Amino acid sequence: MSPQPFADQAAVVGVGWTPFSRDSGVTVGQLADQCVREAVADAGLRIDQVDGLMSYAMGDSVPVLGLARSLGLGRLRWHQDFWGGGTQTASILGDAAMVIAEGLADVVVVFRALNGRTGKRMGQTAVGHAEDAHFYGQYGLAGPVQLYALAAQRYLHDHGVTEEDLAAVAVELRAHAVANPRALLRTPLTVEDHHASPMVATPLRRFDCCQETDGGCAVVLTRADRARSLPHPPVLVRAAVRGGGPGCSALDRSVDIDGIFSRYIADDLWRSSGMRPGDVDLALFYDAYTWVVLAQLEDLGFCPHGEAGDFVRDGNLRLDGAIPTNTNGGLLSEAYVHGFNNVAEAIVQLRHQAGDRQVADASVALCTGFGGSFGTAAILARDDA
Amino acid sequence: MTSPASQKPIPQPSDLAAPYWEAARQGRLKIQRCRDCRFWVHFPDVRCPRCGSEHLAFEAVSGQGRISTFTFVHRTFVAGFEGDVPYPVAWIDLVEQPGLRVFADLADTPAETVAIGLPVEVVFSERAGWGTIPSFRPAASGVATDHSSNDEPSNDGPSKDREVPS
Repeated sequence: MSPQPFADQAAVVGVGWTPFSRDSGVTVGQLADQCVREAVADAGLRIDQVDGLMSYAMGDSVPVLGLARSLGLGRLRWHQDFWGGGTQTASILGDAAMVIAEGLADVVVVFRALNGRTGKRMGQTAVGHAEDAHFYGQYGLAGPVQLYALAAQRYLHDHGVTEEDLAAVAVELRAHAVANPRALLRTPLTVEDHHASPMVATPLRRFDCCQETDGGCAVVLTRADRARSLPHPPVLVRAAVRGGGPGCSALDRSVDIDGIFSRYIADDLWRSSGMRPGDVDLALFYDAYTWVVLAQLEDLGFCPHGEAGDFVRDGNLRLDGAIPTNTNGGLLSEAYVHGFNNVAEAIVQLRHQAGDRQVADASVALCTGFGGSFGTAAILARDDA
Repeated sequence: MTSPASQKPIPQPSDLAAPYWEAARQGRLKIQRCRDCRFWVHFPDVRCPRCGSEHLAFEAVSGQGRISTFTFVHRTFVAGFEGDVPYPVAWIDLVEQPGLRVFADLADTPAETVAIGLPVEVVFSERAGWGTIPSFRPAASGVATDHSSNDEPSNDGPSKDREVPS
């Protein structure tokens, strides 16, 4: 076991959200400004103490230097725009921790803001990398849902996964959202409701797919020793991994077209964190689709391969289950802030501030990001864990 | 887009992809192949992913294969397809080489017969404003001749379970 050099060197000390909606009525820049100011205030710090700024986006947000201007920041010591969504979320806390551990900046703000519903809609963007685009559109294929439906179909086939298994994920995560005032979808869901929802692209129904949301989330990180004098319990960045392989991001030539990121990063995650699945108190899996939650549960070792459906149905994702999962309702039911709302939930849970949806004694959380067969994971831990 | 919104899109290939679509317009399925190591390459590439050679040319393939995976699109985001939903599209494993895969729609294929592992063969469908493009339909001869090694999980025989899309 060799911890990463930045392990436990930096802590999340502040978190902020805009309201989540399907029609924010403001610009992405305003959303970013709002959640960042809230996060900095939550940390007990002043805006003028921020000297590092990072974000990830896919051409749908404000560049960090645009936000620096609206925040009125003076001297910045580190700034960085990452391209991506699920391929960057969660692990971007590792980037911030590296910058802090190296002394490149003292107070780093990480944010993700988007008008995902009223602005550029992820669900209707072109799919694939470069050359692929010349082969899909003329057959009526566009958008990530259709693309990942192709991978999902094969996943269900090869792993014996059923529509009931998909429904179980949607039902369990919705139940968490019911207790979350921030969540956009709070009506309890049944398996029958899931089956009655319109098909988007087989085997994925509307309730198998995440929402499109206008909103933003931000977190503030600083050195762990400094964090201990700030208002909230520090949440340490223990490990972060970002990687992948061919799999479902290379449907044209990979040998495992239903492979998602978690298949590739699992070993690195557990090795670098020195932990095992049993050490994790709650998981915030990137749940763009129901089936990728099942795949992550198995790939990351929370249940044996082929058993994820039963594992979910048996209540293991609940607050008192084996691995409380997406306690905010996830991207499926809380909101789609490209995974960063799941990161924010991990912070709230580890601070023990989640109210009715609090996981008892939560001290270690796993957050992940799905971008096909490339993605991320981060382990966050309380100071005393 | 020069075509009206009600028209289905026509191929707008890059230089790299143009030979694929030009061959299709002539009713032939041609795939890029490395002249040095004879590896088939699709989507087309500037360099052979196996040996690194830049000597690549398009050659005809049999058009025989099996469905690797598929989806029926119920909610479309592509203009011209609104009246077709739900319609099937699929990745086809061609028999020439394990993992050699092409993307197309399924023509003349009853929905209840669409399944992973189904033997299919290429046909050519008319696309207004362009000419013909490749499609696939159930193979007339039943099981496709498999020239490749059988290390693909989908190629495990004609008794494969049939999945009925819902």
